[in-house]
Amino acid sequence: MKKSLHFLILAVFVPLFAQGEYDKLESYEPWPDEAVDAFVSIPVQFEGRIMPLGTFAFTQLMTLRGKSSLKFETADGESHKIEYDAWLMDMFFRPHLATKLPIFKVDDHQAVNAIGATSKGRKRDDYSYVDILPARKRLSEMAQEVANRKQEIDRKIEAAATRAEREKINSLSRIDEQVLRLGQQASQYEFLASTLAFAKPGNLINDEVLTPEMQEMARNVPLAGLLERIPETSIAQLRQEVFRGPPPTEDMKTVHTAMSLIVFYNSISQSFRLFPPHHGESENWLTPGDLIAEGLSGGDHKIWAVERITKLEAIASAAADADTEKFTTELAALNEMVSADAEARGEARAIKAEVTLYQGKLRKNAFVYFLIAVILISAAWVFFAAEAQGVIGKDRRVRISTIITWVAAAVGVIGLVTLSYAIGLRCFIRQRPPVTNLYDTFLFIGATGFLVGLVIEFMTRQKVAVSGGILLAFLCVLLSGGFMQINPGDNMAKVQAVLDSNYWLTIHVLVIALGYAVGLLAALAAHFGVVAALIHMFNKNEGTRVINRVFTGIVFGMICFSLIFSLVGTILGGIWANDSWGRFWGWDPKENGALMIVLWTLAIMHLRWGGHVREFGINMLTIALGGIIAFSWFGVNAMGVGLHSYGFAAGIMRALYIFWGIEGGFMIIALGLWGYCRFGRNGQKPPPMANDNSAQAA
Amino acid sequence: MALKLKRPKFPPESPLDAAKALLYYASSLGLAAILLIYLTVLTLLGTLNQVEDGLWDSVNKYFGSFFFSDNFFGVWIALPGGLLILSILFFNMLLGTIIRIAAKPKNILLFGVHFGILFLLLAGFVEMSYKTEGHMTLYPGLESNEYVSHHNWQLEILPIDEEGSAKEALVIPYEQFQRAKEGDPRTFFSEDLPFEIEINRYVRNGLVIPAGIPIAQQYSEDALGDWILVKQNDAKESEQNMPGIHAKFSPKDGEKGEAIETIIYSHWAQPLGNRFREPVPITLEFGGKKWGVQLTREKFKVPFVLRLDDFTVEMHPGTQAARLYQSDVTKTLEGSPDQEIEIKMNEPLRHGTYVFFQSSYGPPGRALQPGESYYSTFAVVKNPSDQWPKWACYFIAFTLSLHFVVRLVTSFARFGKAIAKASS
Repeated sequence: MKKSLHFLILAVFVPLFAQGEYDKLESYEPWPDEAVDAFVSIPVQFEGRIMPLGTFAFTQLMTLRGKSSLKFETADGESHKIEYDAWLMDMFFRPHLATKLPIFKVDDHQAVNAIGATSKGRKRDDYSYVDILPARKRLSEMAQEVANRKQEIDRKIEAAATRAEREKINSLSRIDEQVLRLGQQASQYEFLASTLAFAKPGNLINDEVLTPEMQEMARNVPLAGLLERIPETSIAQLRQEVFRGPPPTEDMKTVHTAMSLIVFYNSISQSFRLFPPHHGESENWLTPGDLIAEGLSGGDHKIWAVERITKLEAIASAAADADTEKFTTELAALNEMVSADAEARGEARAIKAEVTLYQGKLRKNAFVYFLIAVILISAAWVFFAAEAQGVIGKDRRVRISTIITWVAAAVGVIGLVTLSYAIGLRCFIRQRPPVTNLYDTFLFIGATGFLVGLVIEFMTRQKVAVSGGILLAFLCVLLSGGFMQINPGDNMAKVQAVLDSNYWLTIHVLVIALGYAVGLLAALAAHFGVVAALIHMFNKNEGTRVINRVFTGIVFGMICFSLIFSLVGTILGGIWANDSWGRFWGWDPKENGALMIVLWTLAIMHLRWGGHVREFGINMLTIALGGIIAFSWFGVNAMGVGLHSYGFAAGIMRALYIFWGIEGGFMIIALGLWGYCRFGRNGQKPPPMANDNSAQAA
Repeated sequence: MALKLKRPKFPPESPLDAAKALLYYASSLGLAAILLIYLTVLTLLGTLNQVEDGLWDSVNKYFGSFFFSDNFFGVWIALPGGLLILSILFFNMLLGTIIRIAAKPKNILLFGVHFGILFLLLAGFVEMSYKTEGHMTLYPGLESNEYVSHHNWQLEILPIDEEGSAKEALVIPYEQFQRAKEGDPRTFFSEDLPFEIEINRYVRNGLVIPAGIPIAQQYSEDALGDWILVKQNDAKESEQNMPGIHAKFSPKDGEKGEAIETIIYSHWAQPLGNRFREPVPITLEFGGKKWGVQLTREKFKVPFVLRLDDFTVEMHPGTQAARLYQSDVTKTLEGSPDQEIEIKMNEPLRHGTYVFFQSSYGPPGRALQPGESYYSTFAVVKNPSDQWPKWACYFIAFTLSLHFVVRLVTSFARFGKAIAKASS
């Protein structure tokens, strides 16, 4: 999407936004399922790849709203929830209705007051396009002013030599940031809503942008009809004619109006590429605007373009007439037409798979399964504690906690299958290994972490490994949702040239990600190890001693395997870097993060083998390893430096600080309890208990 | 065979005891753990510092030094650098492997792992000591047999013959004058030169402005004639620094010519090919001969000539993101037939210890003008230990995996017994 076009739309729209009151949506009629299915399956080209229109809709709604669905109430008292696909259909075919949907999420109502619109009173609320329309001009001016200021701040920060100098530079206020974001979102909204506006007279969300003559023509003459009457020319020639000014004679005025309208439609219909080219070797599909330009040429080109424009007009007219049957039929016909063209070029291979991926809500379903598994495994630990204390389960051969653990594991397996299906589809769609970007790592690490935990659980049967696995998978899927909100673009975007190697993506990236997965699994399991070590210190007996040792043994085993994957993955990364950039090791932040994992893991092992740390120490150091892995995984991407720029993600530091805060808090409390147990209330080390064999055991 | 070292007594009773104590601690797991933890912290600090000082300076300061000092929360603290710690770790690991690991069949894999890592560290030391790197940039049709450093500069003195051309240059590396300042100049002379060179100011990243413009007043104390070499903040990307010097050229006793003091600035010295800005040396006249002087990036010769025949870029459709860029080159080596080779991302050209990588292309950030073509930039590296890490990696991966599998099996057997005992 060209930024310059955003500004063009802004320039055209902004002066015409009048003050006024807008009503709530009276009622909402959902689109028929068949129509939605046809709509989402239409292949389009966006950001360099072929995707279903549904995926495009998903990325657009995520960008605007940070969610893939929209909830709202209509004046008739009904509550509605529509998905991204239905929302984009509204944007294209019921644009005036769509302007009343609460699309913009504003975190601070002061931003709404600042632009001169009427806030809804609550600090955080949703606003529709018509809510901000009365203040659209002011919003545009303020957003431009804030954007200029931000540019100046960025320039000063770049020029600052020291951190102290940088800290003196005033950053944007929260309200400024909100205004800037709202301005950008409003522009994006207008650009999107205008894409197919040419297909139905009156579908422009504000046709006052046009001259009265153009309005008159736009309301009465279909575009296809106009194109058929215009003699053979090109869009460049037409644009020159239009910008040359009004015609000298009255009888030429109608022609000039028609040309102006065509140029206008061509400019505003560029947000995605809908039609595969019917001639030439070009890989670039045509936007609806390009189609209009194609319709200006002669012969077969014109026939081809007009046929498609007519199809779009038929769909839009059916929608306007609320003729759902015709609408569905026409939409399905368009889908067939575009799919056939794409298939003829060998480009629609994975459309169905991608529709399944998004419509199946595989990630969300996996999240639900892992959430249930987390609840079950928590219950299992509660029962385990009660059984250990002898409160319940005395004299039973099969314990309740064990049964619940395996139920939790089974639910987790369903989650794993769902998640693996999603990963498999993503691999099929891209023809790539499972991890090519930061978003993939969440899914892959979650799935492999759970799988490894499950395998270890089968071998150890102590609940620790499966608990860690379930928790890791749950957190990863949760984080993947959060990641999508702060990086709402296409999460299967084409890879950079340097990453275009399935061999290295497989052997380096997957091995490193496995190292992260096993290391994080160890870090989560280490929490149980710390608790077990503390319980043993409070209540020294043979049972707690064995549990303490076994838990720590499991954690240590995981660390060993984390080391293998991290070390080998890191060196393989070095070998790849040697082939790509000419150096084995460049101290790039991502490389350093991986190195820190390896060094810390080696330190834990040497401390243990040297007898410098025991159960409690090993587990505490392993929790710290989790913090290091988190830093290496996505913390370094937030630093804004280094060669691994393909993984940069804004706003991720907040999640990281929360994670470090929680883990730090846990470690401080654990250390306090350890100190209390070790040295007693009076700072004296208590004498060993009669049955304390821990020293010998260690 | 592992030596049986006992925990030494303190103080040692004899020189032999002292040597044993040294050996005991130098090979200890405790020392290894301390070094590893310190390296983790150092890596973290060096990584975070890249936001402030950029990659090159941070690497030199934290990892390429024996000691460094930095300001931590307002206090300057001197700390051991990465080079020192890695050296100690190397010897700790070597001694630990030889002395501490018992020579038993079950430890054979552990030996393998440690020797693999030692070999990896050795590769790092060899690379650090003998590697040279830079870039070669060519337009289609052009050829070259040299590459230029990214970071290192040199002062070149070129004897210019009667036809106005220069062949061999005398070179002063920037390390020899980078600490020069007023009151502490660096002086250079040579039998081949009829003059001496005194460098009394070095600016790592500078800008030359006319002394007459209003903004120049604040820098007036640095003025030299009508010009001022203004010191700028160091660029975060070290290769973007443009150094300059104040140099005084004085005739040796008995030689003709007058002393000249001037600014020499690097900005025009980017020898990237015929269509780029050519270096513009300052011309001097001493001993009846002309001399050119210029500040250029360090240059390295390669034993063959590389010609860029064609360069192609493919974008992802509808975007400006490159999907592929590749150079078709011809390698001409004396005594061998010409070789036509493709260089693209992840597929470099290797020749002995030299490797040419497809690094970038230009002009950056704009469309080509009519008649203009892309240029191609190769990163060039000469590294004797180029492939060592790969061999080390395969060896470590094999031995470490096997070692842990063996340990895992024995551990589970032990845990099984412990759990059974606890249950009973």
